[in-house]
Formats: sequence, C-alpha cells, structure tokens
Amino acid sequence: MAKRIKITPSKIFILALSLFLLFCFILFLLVRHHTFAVLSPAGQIAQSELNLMKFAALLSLIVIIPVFGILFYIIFTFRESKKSKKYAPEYSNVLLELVWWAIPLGIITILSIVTWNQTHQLDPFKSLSSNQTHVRIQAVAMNWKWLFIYPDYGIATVNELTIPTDHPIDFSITSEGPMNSLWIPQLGGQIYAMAGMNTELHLIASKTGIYRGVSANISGSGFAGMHFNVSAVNTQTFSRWASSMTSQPQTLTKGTLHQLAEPSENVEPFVFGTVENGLYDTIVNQYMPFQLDPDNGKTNAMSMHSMSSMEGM
Amino acid sequence: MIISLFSSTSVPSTDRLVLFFGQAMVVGAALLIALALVYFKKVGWLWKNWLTSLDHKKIGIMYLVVAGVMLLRGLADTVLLRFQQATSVGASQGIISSNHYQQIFTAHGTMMIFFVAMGLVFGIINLILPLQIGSRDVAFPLLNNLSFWMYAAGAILINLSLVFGGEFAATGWLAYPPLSELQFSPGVGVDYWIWSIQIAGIGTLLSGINFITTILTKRAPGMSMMKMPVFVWSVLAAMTLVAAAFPILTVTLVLLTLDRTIGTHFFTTAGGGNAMMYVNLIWAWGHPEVYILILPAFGIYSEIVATFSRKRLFGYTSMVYAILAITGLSFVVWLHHFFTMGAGANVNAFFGIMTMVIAIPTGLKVFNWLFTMYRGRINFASPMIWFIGFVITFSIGGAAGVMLGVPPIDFQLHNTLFLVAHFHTMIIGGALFGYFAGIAYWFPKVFGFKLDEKLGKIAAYLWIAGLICAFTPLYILGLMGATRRLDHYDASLGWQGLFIVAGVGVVIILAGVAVQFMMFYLAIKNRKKNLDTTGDPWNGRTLEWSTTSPAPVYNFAIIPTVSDRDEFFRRKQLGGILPRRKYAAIVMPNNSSFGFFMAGWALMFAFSVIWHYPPTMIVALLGVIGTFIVRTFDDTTTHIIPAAEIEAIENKRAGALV
Repeated sequence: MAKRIKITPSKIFILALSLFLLFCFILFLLVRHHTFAVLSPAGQIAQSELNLMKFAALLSLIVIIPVFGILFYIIFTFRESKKSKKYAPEYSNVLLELVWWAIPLGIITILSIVTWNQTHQLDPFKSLSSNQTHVRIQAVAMNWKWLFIYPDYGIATVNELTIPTDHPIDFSITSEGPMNSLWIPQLGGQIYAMAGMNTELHLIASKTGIYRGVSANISGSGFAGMHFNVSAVNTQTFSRWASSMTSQPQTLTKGTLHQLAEPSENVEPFVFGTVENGLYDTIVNQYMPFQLDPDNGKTNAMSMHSMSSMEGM
Repeated sequence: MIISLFSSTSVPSTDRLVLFFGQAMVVGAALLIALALVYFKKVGWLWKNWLTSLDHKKIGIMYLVVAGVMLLRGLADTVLLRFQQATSVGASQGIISSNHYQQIFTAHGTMMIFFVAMGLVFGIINLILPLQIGSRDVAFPLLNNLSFWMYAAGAILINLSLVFGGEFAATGWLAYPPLSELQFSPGVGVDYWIWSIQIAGIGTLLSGINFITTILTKRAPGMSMMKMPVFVWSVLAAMTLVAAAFPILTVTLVLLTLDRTIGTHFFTTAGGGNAMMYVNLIWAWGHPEVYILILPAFGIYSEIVATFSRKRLFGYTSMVYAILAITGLSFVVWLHHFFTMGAGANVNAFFGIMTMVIAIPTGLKVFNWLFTMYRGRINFASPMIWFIGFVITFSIGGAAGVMLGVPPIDFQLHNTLFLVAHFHTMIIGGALFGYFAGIAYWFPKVFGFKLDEKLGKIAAYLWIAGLICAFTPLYILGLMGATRRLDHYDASLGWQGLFIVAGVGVVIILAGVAVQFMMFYLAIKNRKKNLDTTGDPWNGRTLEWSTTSPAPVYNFAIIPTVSDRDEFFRRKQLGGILPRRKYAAIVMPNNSSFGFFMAGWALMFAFSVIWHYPPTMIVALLGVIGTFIVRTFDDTTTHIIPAAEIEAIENKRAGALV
C-alpha cells in the first residue's frame, strides 16, 4: 500500500505559493512583449494619472501587507492542534480596536487630500496651459464609428485621429446615438459621449507615435469595432497633413450627415476634405425643443447643454 | 411553433444552435421536473409541504434551490462569454454574434445579482435569522411566502425570455438609455429585463420590510439591540438599505417602461428626456445594492470566525458601528460609478472621498476578524477556508476599489476589465464566499445532517484558486487597455493568452461547483450516517444552536430569555440543560396559496405587457384583486399546536439543550 501523505497546513501553504508563483510566471510570459496602454503614458495627463495610480497602490500595500502577515501568523500560531498557551476566549482590547480605526483613517485622510487636489488638477474639463496653440477637435460617437471634426481646418476624419505633439488638444465630445466613452489610454482618461450633451476632454501627446483609442461604453452590436488609431506627429507634419486633407473629395454637410450616421460596423478610416461650419453644434442641439437664433445660437446652446455648467452643483 | 409565434426579431443563424440548446435546456428541465413529480405522485406533497408553506425555514430552502438553479444558468453564460473572448480574435469571429454575446453578458449580470446573490442572501436570512433572535417566525409569514414567489416569478420570467422570443436585453445589466430605449432596442429583450427584475424587486422590498419588522419586534426577551448577534445587525442594516433603495429601482424601471410602452420621454434623447437622470437613479439604487449583498456576508463571517476560533467576537461595538457607518455611507457614493460622465471636479472629488471613507469601517472589520482569531483555538473547518479565501481576495479587490475611487485614476480604469475584475473579486470573494461559508456552517441546523467536510474544503480551495486564475488576467488586461463587453479584438494586442488563462480559471471554478453539488448529493444520500443529533455540531455560540437540527416547526418550545450576546455559549458554560418547564400551546400560521397566485398573476401581467396584449393584462389585474378579496374572507389563517403535542415532540429530543 502506498504511504499516505500527511496533509499539513505548511504543505498546503507551500503548494499554494508555488502554484501562484508558477501562475505569475505564465502570465509574465504571456504579456512581456505587449503594450500596457495604461502604464505606458505618452502625454502629461496619462503620466500624472499613472503617478497617482502608483501612489494609491503603494498606500494600499501599507494595509494589505500587514493584513496578510497577521493572517498567516495567526493561522499558523493559533490553530487548534497547536494548543497555544495564549488561548484567551474572552479576549478584548479597546486600545487595539482604536488602532484599527486609526490606521485606515490615517491612510484614507492622506489619500483624500491627494484625491481632492488631484481631482481638481486633472479635471478633464480643464484646459491645459501651454505656449503652443490649442488644437480643437469635435468628436461625435455614431453607430458604430467615431467622427472627428477639426473645426479650425474645416476637415473631418472617421475612425482615425491625427494630432500634433506638444499642442494641447481640446476635445468637445457628443454622441449621435447611444452613450459612448472616448478613451485614448496612452494620452489620458476617458469621458462619456452623450447625445444632446457636450462634454470636454483635454489631452496632450508629448512624443510621436501611434496610440489606440476606443469607445469604452457599450453602445450596441458594432461597439467592439469602435476603435481607432491616434497618430501623434510633430507640428510640421501635422500642418502638412491638415492642408493636404483639404483636397480630399468627400464633403460632410448637415444634409449628408444622416448618411454617415446610418449604422455601420468596423468602418475603415476615411477623411472628409470639407466640413460644413457649425455641424457639431447642429448635432449637439438637434434635440433642443425650440429653434435657436442662428446668429447667437451657438453660445446659447453650448452654455445650456455643457456639462461644465454643472460645476456649481 | 410557439417560438416563431412570439418571435419579435430574426435571430442570426450563427446563434441558432446556442439558442436552441438553451431553449431545449429550459423546456427539457421544466418538463422533466413536471413528469417526475407526476410519476412519483409528489405534486400534492410538494404543494402542501413546500410551495404553500409559510414556514421561514422551508421558504429559505426554496430560495436556495432557485438560486442554485440560477447559478448554473449564470455559469453556463460565463462559459459562453469566456469561450467567445478566448476565440474571437483577429480573423476569427468566435461562436456567437456580437448581439447575442451582449445578450448573454446582460443575462449573466442580471441573473447573478438578482437571482443568485439575492436568492442566497434571502435564503440564508430566512433560514437563520428567526432562530438567531429566538423567534418562532418572521413578523409577516404570509408576506414572506409572497416575497419568495415574486422572486421565483422573476426567475421564471427571465428564463421564459429564452423560450418565447428568444431574446434578452443586449444593453449591459443596468440597461442605460438611450441604448435601452425603443429607438435602439426595439425588441422584447429589454422588456423581459425590466419585468423580471421589477417583479423580483417588489418581492425583495416586501422582504426587506418583513425582516426589519421581525428584528425590531420579534426578538427574544432580554435581547437588547446591543445583544443581537452581528449577523442580525448586518441583516437589519442590509434590509434598511433594501427598504430605502429598492423603491428607487421600482420607479426607475416604471419610467423606462413608460418610455418604451406609451411613448413618454423621461430618458429618451428627443422630447426633453435625460438619460443622465436614469444613470443617477439606477446607481442610487445600485450602489446600496452592493452593500445589501455584502453586509449579510460580513455578518456571516462574524459568526463563523467567533465560533471556529472558540472565542468571543473581538470588538463587537466597533463592528456594529462599522456596519452602521457602511450603511449610511453607501447612500452617498453612487456617483463613483460614473465619474466619467463629466460632473465637475468638486462633485467628483466629494464622491471619490466618500468612497474611500467606506474603506475605514471595512478595514476595521477585517482587523477585528483577524483579532477574533488571535489567541483563539482555531478549527479550520470548511467555513474558515472560505473566510481565509475571502480575506485574501477581498483585500486585493478592496485595494483595487480604493484606486477606482480616485476620480483621475477611474478615468483610466473605468469600464475596463480591471473594473470587471474588481467587482467580481468583491462579489465572489466577498459576498458569495460568505454565503457558501454560511451554508456550510448552518447546513446541519437546517437539514439535520452534516456535509462532508473534506469535499467542502476541496470546493473552497477550487473556488479560491479559480477566482484568482480567472480574474488576475482581467486586472492585467484592464491595464493593457482592454475595455469590458468586447466580443472581438485584434490579435496584435496580445490579449488572447490572458483570456485563455481566464477561461482556465472558469474551468477551475466549475470544478469547484461540481464538487459542491457532489457534496450535497452525497450528504443527502448518506444522511442517515451523518445525522446531527446534538443540534450543536460546531460548539456554537448563538441561539440557533440551542434547538434541535432541524428545528421543529415552532423553532422554540419555550422562547428563551437572553442575557448575553453569546447566549447559548453562556448557557453551556452554566451547565447546559435547564430544568424542563410546562409547555404552552403555540399558534402557527396555516399554509396559504395566496403568494403563489399573486406572483402568478404578476407574471401573467408582465408577460402581457411585454407582448402588448391587453386582454390577459386585464385578466391578471382582476386576478390580483380577486385573490386579495378571497384571502380577506379566509377566517382560518392560523392553527394551534396543543401543549401535549409539543411535549411529545420535545420529549423525543433526548439531551437537547434550552
């Protein structure tokens, strides 16, 4: 008869630990050649958000490591079979209880102060200060593609974005259908795109490269295909690109918008060489119950529907 | 064919097989159960002893059975989701269409929260709470039965969606408008979603009121609030949240229903509707809901850790205040589910900080459990294995939660698989492990025989390993920029390997579930060998262990008088058996089919609204009124168990305590 292996707690612990290490090693092998978009910032906002993430993770470790330490110490010291002499069935200690209130309280206080400051610092609606000119981009989520209008250049792109490095990018974001979320992780966090509503996002790229952008919120059957590449290029290349795009034949007007808005999935990128003025405002304001004065309609509508007006809440 | 009769939209051909399999499963299982009942002549028995019973212990068991079935349904969905994400890469489109994939994860989330987690919570509360407070029943036994049937009707309706129409909402489990509006979801899927949780939600609300009243009015003499077991406190807190939060859900769903059926504009984009209002309302319910699930689990851990450490719970008063703090705070954090909607920095920062503040009482609770074990004599029975798995996974999930609570970090992690991993770690590692621990702990009390400890431990180890294996890859994927709910992605992203590992994790969890079902099967099969004759198999501390296992229908022949938090433990130390006293007759409620019919009419009403068929709608409404009137004319709602009969039952319990 085979010898029975006696299962002891330390054997279970060592087995579990080695399995876990093996598991981590497999995961490492699987990911080592691939991009961690959230952890590879290519701009100031993404960098600040990553720093904050690291800070919060470290702070959490201050609690987790002692918890794990205490847990395993107690498991091994106070198991029934050990017949510990320190057994005290009515044990209580008010001082220790107070310490348990105090430790998380202290950590959360620190984190709260940082959170308050950083939330204001990294408010997506806050314009970035820079001596370079700002580039305005109006992003419209459609079923199921992204339309990016460059109002200062009179052009628009679908499912691709070209931006200059070191210039602050001022996104105005809305949706033509269900709610979506505009997210370019290597440049910074996301903001929802909502119909009849204008949200804002301010990002900046500090190095050239191609970064992946997505919609992070489910919007229907073609939603998984709503990703696009962001090409961050230097200023000269961007100017050249923008002026060359104006010669593209396709035109987008208020009249032809509904054709683009027809549901379509996995749309290959393309460009509109001409875009009618005020198109974005038309999209945002299309659900307004009253007709706007065409002369000053823009400012009125924006202030009524902009989420930033909720700041005073 | 009924299927084509009720078909609202054409089903893509790629999904026919999966759908057919699902339909065959639901119809087949229903037919099989019905045939078996008729064949073994058990219909009458089932009706008399179970379906119409107002006994809280039986209602609790019925909750657990339905939740167990729905757990299998939810897990079947998990398998499909994981399989799709592991295979639908680059040129390959996987096995199901994107719309079907979206229906499946919507169904998965809806079923797991409303019909598995809630079912387990109410099952365990029903089984144990009246016993723990030394009561013979809940405050409103008839209402309790109605609550169960509303829950069951919701579960039936969500399964009917598979058979009639073959379509469920494809919107995510909270169905944000405008996607869930008629304009973008014209089929019956969203209506099935609305009505199945609407009906179940009303049952939940009634249960909440029932248990609040029970705790406040039915405690044994001497049991002041600060002498209640922590589980009772946690249930009181959770039920307060139910009573406060579920009406919000009900109203929100009604508004969405009106939008979809009579063309109002509460949440539509056109006509002055505002979808952001829906998002706020649904989370004003949704966040307290999270704590409705987790607080009872906290209560269960408190009972288990004290019992198996052979020690009094460390820091009882702190624990109570921590529960109350969590209860209050859970109502001022809902906005952290949508920091990315673009509220101002002041608003975001406020909700972010409130979110972190919840970590204080939660952290305290973890420390108090650890120090309950400190200087104890810990018996590592299977409930304790679940507890250790909980501490490990919950700490990591909690740290991820604190990170997500910082708005600028949330902008980078919101709606990613990191978030998905976080809430699964919390709900499985926190809540579900607690329910499993509770079931392992209280099983002998409920059924009168014990579960196999070895299988229980193996199941716990498999679940813990599976949880880590299934969700660590998702944390990593989130950091790689993978958003949730994707049915397809590019091969160049390098995500496939991690999705496959996550799939392996699901297989490990399934093995754990298989072991659990085997454990229940073997326990029932060998029940004669594993009888719990003492009523107190774990050397328990609270009143539920002072009755026999299973408890008699009236729970306590003589209502105990309480003078200590661990009343039963005190009695055992004083020397156990108290002198026999004279028994008095006990009044118990009669069985009633009221709940069954009421929920049946509700189901009929919902089904008629979903399919826009007014005649049956009217019949169902008349049915509700009629059933109510019939009940009011029922003069024999209670029966009396004479003292002699009680004495006979009690005399059989040789050596039992109290």
